[in-house]
Amino acid sequence: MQRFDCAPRQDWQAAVEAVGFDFHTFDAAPYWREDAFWQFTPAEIDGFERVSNELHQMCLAAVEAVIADRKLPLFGITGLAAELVQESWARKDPHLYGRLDLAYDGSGPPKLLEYNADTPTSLFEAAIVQWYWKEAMFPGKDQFNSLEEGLIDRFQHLLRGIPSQDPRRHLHMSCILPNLEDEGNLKYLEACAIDAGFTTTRLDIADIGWDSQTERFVDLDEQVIARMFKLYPWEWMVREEFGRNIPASLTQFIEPAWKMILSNKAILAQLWEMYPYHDSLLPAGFDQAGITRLAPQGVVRKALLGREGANVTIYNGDGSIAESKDGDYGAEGFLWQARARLAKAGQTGTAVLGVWLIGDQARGLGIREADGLITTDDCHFVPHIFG
Amino acid sequence: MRRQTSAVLLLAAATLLAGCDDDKKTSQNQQPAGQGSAQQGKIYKDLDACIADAPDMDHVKECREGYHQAMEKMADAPRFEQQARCEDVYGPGNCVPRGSVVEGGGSGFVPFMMGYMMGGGFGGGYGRTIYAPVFIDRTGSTYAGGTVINRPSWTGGAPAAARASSSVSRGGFGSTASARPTVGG
Repeated sequence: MQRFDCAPRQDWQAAVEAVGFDFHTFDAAPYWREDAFWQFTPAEIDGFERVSNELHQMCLAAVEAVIADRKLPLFGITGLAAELVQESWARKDPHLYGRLDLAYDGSGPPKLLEYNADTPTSLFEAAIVQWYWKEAMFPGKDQFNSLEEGLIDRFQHLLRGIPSQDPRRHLHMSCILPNLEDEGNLKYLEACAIDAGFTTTRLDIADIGWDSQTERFVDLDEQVIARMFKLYPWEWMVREEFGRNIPASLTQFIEPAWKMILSNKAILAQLWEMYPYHDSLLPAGFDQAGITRLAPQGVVRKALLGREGANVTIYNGDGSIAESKDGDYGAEGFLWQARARLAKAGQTGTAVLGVWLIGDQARGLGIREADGLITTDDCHFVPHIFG
Repeated sequence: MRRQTSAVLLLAAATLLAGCDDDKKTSQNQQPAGQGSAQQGKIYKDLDACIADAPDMDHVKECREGYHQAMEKMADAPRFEQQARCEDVYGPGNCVPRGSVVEGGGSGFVPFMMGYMMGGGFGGGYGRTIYAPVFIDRTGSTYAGGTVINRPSWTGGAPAAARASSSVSRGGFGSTASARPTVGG
């Protein structure tokens, strides 16, 4: 693993816009950066793939255990949310995708930082933008990226066995509109769904209608929403006004409600309990003292439902604070995790590896760099190659 | 297999564009044929629906005449400079360039003619007959000849937007997001 500085393409803005990337810059600062790239060996990439597939299987086993052992309250999942999680898991509601965030600095096995299993973004950047960058800059090299084949394949899987006139062949796609970044991810998934054979309707999450007579969710044309991909967190949906209508609605949601277990930081404690001292797990739990004893290098406190680095505090081994981000989360509780060694990016920056799972298969890699230790929504996407 | 071909990507992009077009066609074609008698008159989805309801050739002629007069009255349809503003009122995909429906219509957008009304209905007498385009806004309110027609009856089902009813409520999702810029993780 090595990070190289390089000259961006002279017309890089035009080049990325040409493939449909319209959120490359936020507040005058580039989000997409091609003044650097990461190079890996084929063996490293094979390792990421193998480890990610294994971690994903461990996560599925952990979901089963959390439900069977009645541990949902430890995740803050109670009432309606618990009902939806249990039912969706019992029905084996299919899932589409997720992103495992790994810490890896070139030595030792990669370590799981967390699993963005419900509303991961940066998919379009990983699948398309960095691919075209590679084709332009390093056509002879390879990239861990079969995301598009994986997505089309997975959408085809979701259509299998469904008759031609069935409303489940139509996918409603919803996020907060307008929003360049979320919409960019949504549109890309929509293109893949259409390629696989779905018809689609895109709508603002706030435009979803509830028909109290038929007890169905409907779109703006009052067409029934049989299946909906939502780029919107489950924990928000269940506590909003329409949340209570979900059980009666018969709408099949993608991601399914059971992903609430995996996107919750409490899953890290469950994994450590089930697979203690696994090569790719960091010690994690609710007991600060217990985790601190296992982590002389320091610990990290994470809000169970925190997003984009909010409400994360990193402690040094002596108990002093190395870095902290505030935010709106934490009322639901915190998890403690041993501090990981992160790859260095530049003078003070760090990089996190996001391995994409499409269905149950690791299909690609996207690297995000933070200016400090905590990866937030100010991070940068940086492309990679291998070989 | 880690490589992906750009051909696959281009295919997806092309499908997305084609898909949008298909959707539009579908939504227009799917409006079921309708006829019926509201107090103000009969409302038909299109000329074919009117002809299908006509008892004889005189009425077929009336259908054609009413349709053409309604089309002419598209010149009086609410006009918007921007398609988005028009869609704010009439719903996504329900607005068309004014020039496409009004001869010499110039710029701007007007709502799609969801049907047409024949005031008084068949045999209402030419003197009293009103021919007017029918528009339906995104709340389901239906307009013809500049007035709101409450719950017109459309035999065989109304266009989708006309079915907006009091049993549908919106805005029950999305409230948590209002304070946050993006949901990504």
